[in-house]
Amino acid sequence: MCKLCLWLIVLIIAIIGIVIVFKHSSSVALSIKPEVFNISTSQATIAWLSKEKYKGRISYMPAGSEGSPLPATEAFGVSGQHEVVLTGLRASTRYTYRIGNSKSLFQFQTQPAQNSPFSFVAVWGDVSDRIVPLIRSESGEFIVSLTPASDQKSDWFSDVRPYVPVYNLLGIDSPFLSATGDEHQSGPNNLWKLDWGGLRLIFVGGVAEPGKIAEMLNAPSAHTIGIITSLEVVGVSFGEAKLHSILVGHNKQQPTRPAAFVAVIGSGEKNVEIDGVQYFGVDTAKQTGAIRVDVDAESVRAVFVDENREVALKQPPLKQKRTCEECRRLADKGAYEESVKAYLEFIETHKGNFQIDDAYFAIAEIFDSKLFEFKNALVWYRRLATEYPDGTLTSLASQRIKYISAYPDHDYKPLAQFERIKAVEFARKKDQPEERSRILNEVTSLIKQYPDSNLAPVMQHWLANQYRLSEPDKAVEAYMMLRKNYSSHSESQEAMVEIGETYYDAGRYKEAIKAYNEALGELPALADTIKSQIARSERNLRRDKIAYVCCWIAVIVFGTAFIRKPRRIGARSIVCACTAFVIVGAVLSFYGWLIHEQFNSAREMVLIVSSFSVIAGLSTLISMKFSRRANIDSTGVFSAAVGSLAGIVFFLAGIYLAIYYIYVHYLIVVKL
Amino acid sequence: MKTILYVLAFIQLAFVSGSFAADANATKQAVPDLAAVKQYVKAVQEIEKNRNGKTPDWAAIDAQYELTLPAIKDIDVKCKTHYAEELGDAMKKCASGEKIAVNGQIIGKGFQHVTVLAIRQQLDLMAKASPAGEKASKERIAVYFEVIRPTLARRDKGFFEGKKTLEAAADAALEQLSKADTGNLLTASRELEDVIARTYALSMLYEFEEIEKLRDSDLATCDVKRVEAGMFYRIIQQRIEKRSPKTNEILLNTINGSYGAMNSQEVEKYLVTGLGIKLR
Repeated sequence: MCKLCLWLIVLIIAIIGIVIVFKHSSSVALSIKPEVFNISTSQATIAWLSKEKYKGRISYMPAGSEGSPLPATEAFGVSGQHEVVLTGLRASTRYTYRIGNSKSLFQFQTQPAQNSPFSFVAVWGDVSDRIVPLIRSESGEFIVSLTPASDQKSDWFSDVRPYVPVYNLLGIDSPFLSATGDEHQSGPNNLWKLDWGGLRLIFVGGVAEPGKIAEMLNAPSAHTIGIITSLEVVGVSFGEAKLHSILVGHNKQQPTRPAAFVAVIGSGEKNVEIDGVQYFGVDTAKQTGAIRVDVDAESVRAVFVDENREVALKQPPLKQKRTCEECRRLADKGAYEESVKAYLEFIETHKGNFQIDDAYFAIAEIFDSKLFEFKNALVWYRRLATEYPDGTLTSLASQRIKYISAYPDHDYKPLAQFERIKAVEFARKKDQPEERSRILNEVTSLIKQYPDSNLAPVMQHWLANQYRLSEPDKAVEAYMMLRKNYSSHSESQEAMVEIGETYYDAGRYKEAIKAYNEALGELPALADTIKSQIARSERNLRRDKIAYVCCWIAVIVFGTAFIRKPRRIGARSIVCACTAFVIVGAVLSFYGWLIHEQFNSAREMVLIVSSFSVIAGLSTLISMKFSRRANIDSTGVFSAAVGSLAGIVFFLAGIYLAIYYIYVHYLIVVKL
Repeated sequence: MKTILYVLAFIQLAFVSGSFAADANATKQAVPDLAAVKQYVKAVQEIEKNRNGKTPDWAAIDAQYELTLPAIKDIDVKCKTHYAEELGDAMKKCASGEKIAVNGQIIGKGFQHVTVLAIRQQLDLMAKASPAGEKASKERIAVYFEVIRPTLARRDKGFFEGKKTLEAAADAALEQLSKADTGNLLTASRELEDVIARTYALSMLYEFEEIEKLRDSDLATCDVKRVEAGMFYRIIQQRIEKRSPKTNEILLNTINGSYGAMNSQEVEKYLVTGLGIKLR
């Protein structure tokens, strides 16, 4: 007994030991937290420390892409300090990577190209419990820690180091580099620079030589230069410090690449612009905080994440929020000519104003869509595109230029009339049949008046489309006219398919199939689409035919059972039919309730259940009637078979008709 | 010997009861919230089904809407949105037959945005939660996701020839998320965010393609499509605005611009720039 106990104890200890070892080993595997740093547009370094010595391996691939990951191995031999450099990467691309065979996947993003926008996050205080959601929600590409690493009791950034590089006033903030004693990268620097996309960020962490600062300000490839420093280092107040005179001197020398902003770490939150340099204070005396800095080629802004407050660090040239409210009001009340005049006056009095491109677009739009004066519209759209090529409305203006320029013939008359009909008359009166017909006739006359106009095929196509739902024959006629008169025009290319669709929508499947087959020969590129349309038409045709046959079967069976004498229905038959109705109804109701989500509506479900139950009841009645009528043999087997057969035939036909009329698409369930 | 055995048995008991206690604790934290999330999701699904039916029953929809209100109000407070007011207003207008097509879309797309915001809230909560809280958030995200799943399926059908591309990517991200720990949570949550952004960008693009097809024939439907595009854009706007305020302004101008100036290819180009991901 004692021996057995001893064995049991040994066994339990062994199991506990194995569990502890297993847990420990898995925690070792999980505890590898790499760091990413030295990220450029084409390469990145992944580094980590391990207790065991081995040669580090990484597999990586662009995030979201399919295929097998690429391998990368560290250049040096076996050690516990691993550094793998990934090369040949694409700019602005997020990569997923894993270390060795670890299950944990991490991601980092390469630097953006020169003019691409990006954001970074500056934080201070203990952010360890919010750094992950912060990086996720603010999409920061790197972190600038404004709290010295020496003030951190623990590593606040350990959870995000695999994803984004961390910097501080003195350089790269990296436990790996500190542990490996890489002086070149982790040693304290009073003055250092970080180039990210089109941003040059200069960190002034201590007293530095003015000459060196001036040297760093010279960044020919950057579109924005910013400085991060501490008030204590600079000395006295904003504007009087030595750093300021260096910046002003630089901005005078290089007005196209000026130092845009200076973030001053201290106890104040003052935001002030002095001699064209935007200073903004970051109050690190507060326990904790975070700022997201959005960098674009034209503008930079700092968003105080916790305070919902933002500071513009670099503004687009001449940005002033002035708009012409009066001009808009006039346009809104329909006084278009007056509105144009007001806009012209606004442009004259606010030359160089940021809102001028809006005014150009507004004038162009009034000429384009309200007055239908396309020559004038083109002038203003083109002016906008030429004078403000990077404007936010230029894309829309270009679309209109493209459209209007395509139809200049007859001095824009057909275009003006057609656009007016579409935008004014048709939009308002298309629901009134008489007016609709009159407007469509007007377009027909317009086509006849300008048959050689560039716009004629467009108008013909529009006309056919309008007839399509209400008058299919007229639509087909219009499509045929389009094919005949404007065969080379792009609008007529797919006219035969559209004829097929017109017939299909009208439920004329035979004609639709004929048109589709003709289109198939003309448009081999659309073969798949056309074939599927033919298949759908054939299926619908088949459904109609089956419904027709079922209808006749139901009538014949029902007629044979009840119209021919003797017509009397026995009480037993009625009881049986009612029983069938109740049983089928109950079973289907229960099943329908179970799968009620599959139906479009409750009404539809009730209709199906009740119609199926009625059909079941009638089928029972028919079966019994036929059995009695065919009661010619002594055993009754033949009569029962005939009755059952008649009942089943009627039941199947009835079920098909019920589905066909309630919701035909349910026939897909039975592959019909 | 007996004492040793007793001690060992006690240790085992302690382990077992400890693990039970941890499980019970996790369940205790997760169950009430998860039940509320499930109630919200079920109510939204019912509303959508009823709303998209042939004859919507607005009284029944209103009753279901009442069930979703706590979740909507919670999101309104946390995300500084006004969906309780906006959806309630749209609901009233639909019930009184006022612009049902437009207001119906405000309801449908509004719920989608609320749900996406709720998913984002849970992702934020996860990062700073205890293991039990983390597990609860993962479960809630999986349930919330069912509200937006039909949109992914529709975009797969429209843009990827029915091949489950977005849905498969979302399922992979959810799977990854369910297994993620604090160390690699960001990877999974970013993947999920990307799928959501891609889905709603394609949804917006779809509406623009529809406007291009209909602008010469059916302006009333174009108005509905414009509202839909605007609602879809709201879901992804924050990310675009952060990355590129200018792109955001261009896209807003396009949404509010004239139908004749809309070009879906241009819109796609700006969506890719603004989101920083490939759409298809």
